[in-house]
Amino acid sequence: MGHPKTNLLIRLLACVVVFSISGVMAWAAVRHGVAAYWAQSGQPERWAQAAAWEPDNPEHWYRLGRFYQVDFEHADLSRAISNYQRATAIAPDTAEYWLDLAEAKETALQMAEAEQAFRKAQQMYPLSADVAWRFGNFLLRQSRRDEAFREIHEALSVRPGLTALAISRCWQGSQDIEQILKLALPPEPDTYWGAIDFLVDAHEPDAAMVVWKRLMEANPSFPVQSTFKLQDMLIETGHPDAAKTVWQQAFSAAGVSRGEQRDGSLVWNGGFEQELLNGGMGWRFRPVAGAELNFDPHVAHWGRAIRAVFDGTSNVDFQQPWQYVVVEPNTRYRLSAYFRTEDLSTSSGIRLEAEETHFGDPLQGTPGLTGTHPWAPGVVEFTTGADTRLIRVVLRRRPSQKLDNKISGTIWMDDVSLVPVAESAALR
Amino acid sequence: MTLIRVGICALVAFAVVAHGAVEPWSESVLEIGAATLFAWWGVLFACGIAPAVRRNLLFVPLGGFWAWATVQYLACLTTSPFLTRVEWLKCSALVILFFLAVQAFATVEHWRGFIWFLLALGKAGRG
Repeated sequence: MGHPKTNLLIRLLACVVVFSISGVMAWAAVRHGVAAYWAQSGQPERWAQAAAWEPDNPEHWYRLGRFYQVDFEHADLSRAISNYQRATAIAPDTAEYWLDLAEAKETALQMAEAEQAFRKAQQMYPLSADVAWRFGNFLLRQSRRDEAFREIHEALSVRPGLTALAISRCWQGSQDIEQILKLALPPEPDTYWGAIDFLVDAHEPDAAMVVWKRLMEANPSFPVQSTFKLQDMLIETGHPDAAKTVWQQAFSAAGVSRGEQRDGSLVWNGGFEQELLNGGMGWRFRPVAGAELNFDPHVAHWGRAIRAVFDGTSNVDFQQPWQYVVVEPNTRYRLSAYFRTEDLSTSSGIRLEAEETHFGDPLQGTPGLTGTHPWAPGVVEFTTGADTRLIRVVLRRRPSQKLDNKISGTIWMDDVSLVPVAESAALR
Repeated sequence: MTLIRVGICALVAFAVVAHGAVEPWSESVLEIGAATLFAWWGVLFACGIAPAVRRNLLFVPLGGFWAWATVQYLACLTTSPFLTRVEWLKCSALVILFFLAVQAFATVEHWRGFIWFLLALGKAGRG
């Protein structure tokens, strides 16, 4: 080597130091390696060995705590709590350990200790959505609604994806939607939409309209189609005026013109100049075998007409397009449209009907059409009942009972209009 | 010293084969290997086969960092003593391997052999 030998005493001293460091290292490495090996096994006995072998690793104790808390066969709440407590003692800064300890304490009906543990978790990780969410749910279970709502508000501010679950939990705790909106839900359009979706599924029209009103106060922007589920629920639950309000406000939120209806008609897009939205208070359709519905830009009474082509393969129960229209009770209305037909071969004529509900009898309908006719108006007047608030305007062909019942041919329809008779007369 | 050079090469190869030695078991093998080589160097030094400690400027920052980690762990100046211990072990193993490399690779021939070993390992690793 070319170096003079170091003094023997120093060499022996260095050897002792080197052996000490090596020994400590090797022992620590063996302990960690073996404990990790046992911890990776699928046997809880091995986890306990790992915890005993490496007691300063909080993860081993936490895992044992989880095992004794959630395993069906070996559930032992007191052991779960003692293991969680060991984990929190080793790593008091880990919010996750405090949270599980809190929930174990709650299960053991030790509510004061559970709350203490939740608060400790919050102290360790104040911005955690998970902590706020689980603490909020705990408070909700304790019927401490205002505090719970505030915690849930914190959770939603960080993680908006929890909205649907949050509104569900809050609604179960308190059906006071104003309070939920005030305390639990952050004033964000996405959050309001989550709440509306939940309330639509829960068939809660009044609460849904409260949220809708709050949503509209924020001047949001969204497509009209996103309100269709809400409108359907409002119609189903007998709130046609609310559905109409949503329909009208949705257009302004979408930033598109609703299009003025000619002659004050209550039918939206009666001239078919705009696309069929297939929802809300607009025209709806559903594909049916034996018939095809589309626009005809070349043959129209004015602008553009809708066309139904029957291919002669079936005795189709045809009812499209159709549209819900909000009406006044005990009022006389005139329903009219222009029709053109070509080779319409059926004994059951096609006509425009006003129906009270999906399955109800028609209030009235224009005369049934068959054969070939040039453009001509079809008109009918009817009076709504005392309870009628909503009707369905539909182009309909009922199935024929005769032997030769398969329909073929084409019908065009344009300029559909529904007006109160007095108003119509005044316009003339 | 040949055994130490071979041992360092073996540990380098092991770390590569064990996908970087990032799992607890492979970390432990690396640490135990480093501790064993260090102990062997201690024997050689005590017997005078390694006559003196070769110095390197990097010993100062590495030793200082290792000493600070040791003080942190022993004096409990850490929020997670367990994780500090695990990282201290890794740090110790790497510092020891560097120390041993400085002691064992003393000549140009030694380093040339080490470079050839790395080239062969790289070639073998590429398949």
